[in-house]
Amino acid sequence: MLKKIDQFLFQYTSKQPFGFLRIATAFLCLCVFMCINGSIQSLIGLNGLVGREITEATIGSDIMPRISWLINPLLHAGFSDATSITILMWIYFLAIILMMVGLFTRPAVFIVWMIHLMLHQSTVQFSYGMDAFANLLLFYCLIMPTHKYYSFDAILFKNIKKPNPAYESFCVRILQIHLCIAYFFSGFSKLLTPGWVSTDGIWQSLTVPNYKTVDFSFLANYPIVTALLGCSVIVLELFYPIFMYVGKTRKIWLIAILLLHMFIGLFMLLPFFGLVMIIFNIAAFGWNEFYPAKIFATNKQE
Amino acid sequence: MSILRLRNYITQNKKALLAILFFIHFFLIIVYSTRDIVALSITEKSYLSNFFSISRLRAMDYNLSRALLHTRSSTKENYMGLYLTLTGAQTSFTYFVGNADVEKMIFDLEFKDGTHQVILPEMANNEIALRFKHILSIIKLSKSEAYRDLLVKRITEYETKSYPDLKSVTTIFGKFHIPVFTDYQKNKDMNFKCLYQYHYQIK
Repeated sequence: MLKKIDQFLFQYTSKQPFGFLRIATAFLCLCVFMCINGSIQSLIGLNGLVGREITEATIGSDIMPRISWLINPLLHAGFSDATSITILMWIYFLAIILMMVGLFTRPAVFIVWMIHLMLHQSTVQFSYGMDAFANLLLFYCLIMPTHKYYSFDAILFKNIKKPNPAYESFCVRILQIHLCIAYFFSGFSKLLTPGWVSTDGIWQSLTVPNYKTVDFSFLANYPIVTALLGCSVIVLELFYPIFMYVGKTRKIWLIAILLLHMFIGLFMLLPFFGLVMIIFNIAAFGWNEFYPAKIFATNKQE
Repeated sequence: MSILRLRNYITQNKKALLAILFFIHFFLIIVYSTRDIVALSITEKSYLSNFFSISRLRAMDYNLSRALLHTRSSTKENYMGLYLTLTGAQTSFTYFVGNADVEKMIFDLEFKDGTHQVILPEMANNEIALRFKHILSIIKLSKSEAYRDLLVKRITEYETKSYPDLKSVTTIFGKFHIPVFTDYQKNKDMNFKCLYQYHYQIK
């Protein structure tokens, strides 16, 4: 039993997705930053839409990180609230760029993770699922050896330790198991919800005005198609942990789940939520399946 | 000396320690995901709802509320909450499960000259609109009247501050009910239901 656990956790050989994970997560953070930066004063400013004092009052515990921990010292130093937020956003932006190129990767990832977490905590009323998953990926970027791959650190600093296969195997397994749990529970909760097994779940998801770019009302004429779509989403999510570990079905299951998230991103006005899940899937399973060198090798053989 | 011994112990048992951390971490994630399923059942949205009697359901709701609120009373709970927040282990995985309503906030502005203008909140882009939608959901779901009043008042103030010569503002908060599949075939219109209405006099 212990041997099997050891084999599963520490002896899994795969192409290392850590460089991709770091760059893609930084890209996601950069995209979100570009979108919210123009309205950041209204989100976290003292005179914002709700006001930072009110949004932070709902954080239950005093030890939970919040953005005022960084802003208050700047306010005491004589900066205005707006200037303090701007300074902080510049630091965040620079840290994202450093994280992306892999220069001083560890401190850069730490800064991005901390500021993102603080923003997420302080504006929890304005946050949604994407923020939570981005926080998750940033945390994994921090604890995983993301600085060793596709980074300036690997070129500049020769003292970076050589790859540690056992730990890297462990890290890939963490990503995989986390995704399996996420999809299983997502599928299970949909299965328990009246409507998802019939037509209503997928119908409502596709026709909510705030979440649509294409008019899917034509599906009202095809109840069987709508029901099949709903059931296929449940099957895809519920059996993800099983079929992703069966060699023959892994690729097809992965493509199906990536298409699902591309669909969510493009047609349900949730591009960043779609993107974060695509990044997570590629890092956990896809990098090994679709590793560029593997594709080139196949082409050469042909 | 003891630090050295600890360091040696960690180096020697690195794999075992990592495996233990792995199981604890994912055990917590499973517990929190199960909590979401139970919460879903408590709000009577799932097939499991029938398995809970009203009294058990209330007791569970109470216990859950206590657990979820990260109360200040216990340091242990605080540190647990901190770990879950930092690692993202408390991330909920039940998106797009419940019925989706569309909440709307509308402002009816009355100017000093007696004229009226109806406006909607202005959003810079889709990302901000998504985030604003979340706060509208919080207003709808909030059980605290004071908190809801405060949120509506602050949003009203923010959205109307660029309008001079205001005499009063009426904020209407409601939701569009999206017809379910079978209802849609009979009636394609969405129904707007006003949930709360606030009237503010500008001094």
